[in-house]
Amino acid sequence: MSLGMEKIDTHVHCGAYSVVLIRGTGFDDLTRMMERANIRIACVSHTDAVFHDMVAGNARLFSALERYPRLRGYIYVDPHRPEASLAEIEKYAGHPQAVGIKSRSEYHGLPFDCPEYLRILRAAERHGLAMLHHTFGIDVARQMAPVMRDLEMSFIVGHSGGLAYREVADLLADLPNAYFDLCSSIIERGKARAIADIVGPERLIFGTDMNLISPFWTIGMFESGGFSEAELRRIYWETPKRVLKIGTEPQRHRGTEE
Amino acid sequence: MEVIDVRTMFGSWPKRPLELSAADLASHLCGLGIAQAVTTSSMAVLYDDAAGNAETLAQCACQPSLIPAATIHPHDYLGSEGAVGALREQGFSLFRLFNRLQGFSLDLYCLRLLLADLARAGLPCIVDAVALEDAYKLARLSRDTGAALICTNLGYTFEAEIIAIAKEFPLVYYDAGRMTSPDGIALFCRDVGAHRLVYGSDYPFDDVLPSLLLLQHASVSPAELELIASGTIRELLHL
Repeated sequence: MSLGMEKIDTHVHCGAYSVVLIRGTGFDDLTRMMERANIRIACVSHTDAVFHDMVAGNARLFSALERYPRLRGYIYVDPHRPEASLAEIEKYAGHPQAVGIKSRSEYHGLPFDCPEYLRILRAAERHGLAMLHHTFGIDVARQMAPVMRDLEMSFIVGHSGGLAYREVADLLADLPNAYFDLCSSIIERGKARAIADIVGPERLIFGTDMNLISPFWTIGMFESGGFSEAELRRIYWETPKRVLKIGTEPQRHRGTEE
Repeated sequence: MEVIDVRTMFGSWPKRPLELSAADLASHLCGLGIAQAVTTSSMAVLYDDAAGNAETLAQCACQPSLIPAATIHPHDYLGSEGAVGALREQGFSLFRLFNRLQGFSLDLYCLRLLLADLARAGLPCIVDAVALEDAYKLARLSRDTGAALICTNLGYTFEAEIIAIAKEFPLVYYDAGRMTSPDGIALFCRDVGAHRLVYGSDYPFDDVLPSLLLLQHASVSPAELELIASGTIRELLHL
């Protein structure tokens, strides 16, 4: 068991949810959760941006980040608002704690290969940003594959397709810029190993979906995969660090940072 | 911490490449530090409940860490035949209904009759909540029939609902192994109490470690953790 191993969590949220019982939704709650799970760096999108208001949510996140040196930020992008999304990228791409863009094409009801997303993705590529994309089901992955093939940027396939994880891993296996996080309610026996057998453990990346889901739930999935200590270190630390270009070590802060 | 897993199965599962003997189930859980497990043969779920219940009992007799759970399909239930009493006499101390896997509705009248018979026999029953509204359906069934029900197959969307229900319906218990939000188990303990929670993994369909680590790292006291891990089910089954 590698619970003591330090981790970089590439799939994290902060903020409230309207559909789930959660009380600790603030940045301080998040950092306390990180401490308990040995998550040294968390890459966050704000739920206000994800579910409601891209501009307001991104502002909530990036205005707080400098007070939380162990956090990194995803710029949320909304394909219904391509001009505003491009402006958000220009606004935050230079922020020292920005690591990528995040979106959920299904939520917006637009295909990932639509012209609006392509414009946004080209801007992210120019800025050297990675993308975390919510990926549930094979249909979304089919839209993603040709787009990912044409771009020189890394993609985190968020949730690895959900129940369709085998098909999604098969479909995207030959794309070297596709990385797979495991987080979801689906914990079918052998899921981590099955994905690793298709794409290689070097393409697995640690992401938990906290604060929606306890990080220990997702850690349990990775710990069930029968990985060596070196493979786990790569999944938990080295791959996230490389994919999201997390260069300098943040200063270690303990306790309340606000 | 002693852990008793209330949600396992052994046998063959043709819808997935699953093949697990009772001995291998006991061995795997033991390797993860799980002391005992409630289990049922897949034969009882997919083929013949009578033959499957006999298989469950026989296999559990050879594996002291396994606690047999009987099942009856409501489509195959005539209360007049006395099956519940007979199964209790054979040594079953609880039932598990596979409404999710077998696809039957919680609104069946036969199910209501079966649960009433279980209540008369003093046997608790494990049942899945497939949809969010099933939590309230199960609570009403427990009140109407007097059966103690252990509600499994939850998820983070259930947490507020089951806390509200548990306060009003004292015969319903819940599986903490699927209360995946960071606050879920702690909020349930604060508002209702750990004496209404048990732990289930759903092995071999799911990996055990996600739910086990979730439980072990819940923000609850050691006494509450002990109740969830084994104390509540021990009391329900008079272990």
